Amino acid sequence: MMGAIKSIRVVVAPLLAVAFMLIAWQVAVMMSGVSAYLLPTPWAIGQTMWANSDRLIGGAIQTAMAATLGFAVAAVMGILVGSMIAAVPFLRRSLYPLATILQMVPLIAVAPLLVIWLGFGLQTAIAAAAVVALFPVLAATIDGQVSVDPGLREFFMLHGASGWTRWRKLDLPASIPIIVTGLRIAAGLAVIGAIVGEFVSGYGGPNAPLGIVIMTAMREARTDLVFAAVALSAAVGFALFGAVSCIGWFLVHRWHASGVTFMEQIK
Amino acid sequence: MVPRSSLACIWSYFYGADQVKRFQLTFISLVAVIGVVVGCDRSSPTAAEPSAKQPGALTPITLQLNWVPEPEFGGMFAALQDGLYAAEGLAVDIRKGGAQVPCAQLAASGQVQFAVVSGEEVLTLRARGGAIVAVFATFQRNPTGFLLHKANPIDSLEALWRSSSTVGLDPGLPFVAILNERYGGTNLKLVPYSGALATFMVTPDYVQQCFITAEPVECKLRGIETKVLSVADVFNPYSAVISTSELFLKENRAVAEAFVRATTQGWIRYLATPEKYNPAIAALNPSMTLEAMNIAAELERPLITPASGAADIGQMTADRWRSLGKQLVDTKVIPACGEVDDAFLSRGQEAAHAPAHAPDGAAGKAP
Repeated sequence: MMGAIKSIRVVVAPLLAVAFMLIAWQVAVMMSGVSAYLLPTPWAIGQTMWANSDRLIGGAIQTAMAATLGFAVAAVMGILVGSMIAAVPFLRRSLYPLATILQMVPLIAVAPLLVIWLGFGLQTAIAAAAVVALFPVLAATIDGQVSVDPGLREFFMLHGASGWTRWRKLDLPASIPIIVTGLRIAAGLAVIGAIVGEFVSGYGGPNAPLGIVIMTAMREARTDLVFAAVALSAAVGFALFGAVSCIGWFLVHRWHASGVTFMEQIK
Repeated sequence: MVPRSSLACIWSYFYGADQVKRFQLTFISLVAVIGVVVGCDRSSPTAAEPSAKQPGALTPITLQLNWVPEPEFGGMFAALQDGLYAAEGLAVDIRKGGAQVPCAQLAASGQVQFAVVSGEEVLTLRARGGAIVAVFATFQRNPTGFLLHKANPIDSLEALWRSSSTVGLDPGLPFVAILNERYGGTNLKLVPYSGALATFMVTPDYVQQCFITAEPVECKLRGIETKVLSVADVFNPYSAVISTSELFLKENRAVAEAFVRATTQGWIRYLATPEKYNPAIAALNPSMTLEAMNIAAELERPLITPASGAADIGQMTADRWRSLGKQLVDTKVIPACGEVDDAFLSRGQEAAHAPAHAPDGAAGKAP
């Protein structure tokens, strides 16, 4: 019974906060009389969302596909390259600074180059998502694996474990909680990367991705549609974040504090 | 209204009785935020009033461009360089623009006094509730077109729209709907226009939007042979239109008229001797060479000068605005177009309010 009440609290509390914010927004706009082309009300945005649901859902599917695939590329590359960098001190000294620079590259400046290299369409949006999502996974993997308990590492060495065995049975499992944190950050960034990629490479038409919907709505002075598309892109990011969090919890909840206290954290 | 104590009860249920103080702080903060928004926007849109000036001092004015400095804004830079704005009592600050600068919204909301927008943006924003008014139309004929490599076999808009080409376009351009209605366009691949030539240069069958006076000139100077399909035959709004907010025009009509007079004279001077003014523009835009600017100025002259002569540069007619409004409604870009007489400042209206004697410094000769 107490568990059920706790679960309801976990769900209701953030919903209440969102409802409170939307009401405040609605009231503020209505009282101020600010024009809809500058700041529409949440109600107007909701109506626009409903009226353009086909276009927005089609766009959200495209964007979700680009973000998810870009995130997957970043996750695989980040964990593999990060593990190599963590395992070899020379690589750590030489490549880690380069990886840090990767994080600082302004995507908006690189995106047009991605179009030239990869062409228009989904592949460029995937690449843009992967570029921005890569660093958090890479950094988390390196940090996670270099901070494995030295005592355990010595224990593996004493038993003559190979590098591959040590990575598979110690370094990777021990660093999963930190890698999951990096993946959560990367999930949100992947959606931003996908949208920026779509700004320069997305196809127009009835199934245009959210990035193109946003640009079109800006051109047509349809601020309500801009907000609707932004809200959907946030929903895509939230879904990706949620999926990663669930997978992370599934992997670590039996043995690590971050998994055990996951529900506590969001309370 | 829900009593504050009831909200506090709900809060204490979810977050615990000891957190009521936090609720009170949150509640007060929210009320304060609402208050700030309401307070800020009571007078929105603002009139972007020129700040109070001393007697004899110049009135500060900001002109927001929708692109980087190029010959398409040559008249404004000529007016600045020759002191025509100053002679009208204006201290004009010309701000560079770019692809994502929301010029129409900036002008309508009073964030800047004047902004350069496209004709369709004026009617589109008005249809969405923005109180924007056009005061000066630079291009009488739409300079927008499609840029193709010369070897591309496509030779008409119809052929282009029936092809499966990849076309770089700003999303949301109204003439796309017009061309779709006429020719189908189902096989075209529309992609965002980057504003650069890099993709065009490396892709022989790529087509992109262009300003007749800009990209084709750049290509020619780089040794790339091109051809242009003009959009003006199917969609011909005024272009590079200087706009302001209704409120600013109402409260500062004399300032707006002075600005239009100086701009008109600036254009007359610029089109007569563009090479005199282009070095200053080129200094602000290193990506376009001086040679390209001189060629562009020659190309834009017939698109800017009305049939009635250079003295009528910048003027607009209700018929042209009505025709544009009808096209935008027919293609469902806007649901309805109101009375267009309020959407622009006609030369007749302006003359009725103009001072009897224009300042000497504003006198110019038609080319």
